[in-house]
Amino acid sequence: MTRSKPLRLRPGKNDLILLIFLTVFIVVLFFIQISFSLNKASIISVEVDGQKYGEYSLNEDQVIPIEIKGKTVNVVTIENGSAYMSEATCPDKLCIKQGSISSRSQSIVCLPNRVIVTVTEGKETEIDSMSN
Amino acid sequence: MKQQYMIKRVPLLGVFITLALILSYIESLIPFYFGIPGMKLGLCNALVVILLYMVPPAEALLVNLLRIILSGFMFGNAFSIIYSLAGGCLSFLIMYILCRMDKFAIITISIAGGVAHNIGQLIVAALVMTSINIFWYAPVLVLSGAITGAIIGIISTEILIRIRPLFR
Repeated sequence: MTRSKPLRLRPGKNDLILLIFLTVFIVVLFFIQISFSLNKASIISVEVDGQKYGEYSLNEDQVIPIEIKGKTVNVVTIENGSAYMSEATCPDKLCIKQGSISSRSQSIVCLPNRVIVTVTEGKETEIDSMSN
Repeated sequence: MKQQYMIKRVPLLGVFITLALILSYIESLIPFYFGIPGMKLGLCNALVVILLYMVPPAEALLVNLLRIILSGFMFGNAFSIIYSLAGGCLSFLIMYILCRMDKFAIITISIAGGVAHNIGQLIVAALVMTSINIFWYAPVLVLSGAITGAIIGIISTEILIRIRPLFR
């Protein structure tokens, strides 16, 4: 049944429509991402296993060890207003390779240890303080 | 009749699973890393695309599931099996539907599969991490899924042109 189906080797009109939709989808996604990251932030928040672990200011240089059950699994370092994962116990070390983050909604993820570091604006945003 | 069919089919599907495992191994050797977790070339996806056009969908799905579980045990861990299963199943579903509609070229089906694979992984990652911040990676993962899907689509098209006459 499947075998007798003719192969469509060259893209036609249908393919064009689908690919245009996909392109628009990707452009919209990037647009949303950029519009979120335009405002600079000053706080990173660390989540472990979906729970908030702590918030740290990006303005001061510091070294933050992240401990799970008394063991240090990851170390986040803040330097010159940006944060990066400097140490990790996970085997692949992908979180270290993700580099440094500094603008809003950017994040570093360590899947094996379930650690997420995200740049947030903190509790009082600029808009709130202006409208008050 | 049924037995005759099985005698022919089981070795063929076994060969395909072996091929998929070899492709997974080759893929684990290629350093294809651009700073985003979960980005892969997806060589096995080429095999899935080819199978969709050559064997009944149930058999293609069987090969797909078995190669994910087996390669997960061999080259990954429990987590990577969950992620691959989510990506693999969603991409298979999308590609099967598009293939069934019989309106799209092989390369388009492959692109849709690549994008669906990455979206499936993102959804599971968001569920596992119980955080929506992971969707920060959505734009670049969808784009990379489309690009790798296009490469895989070209490869599968060329292979199908040459291989399909042999199996008629």
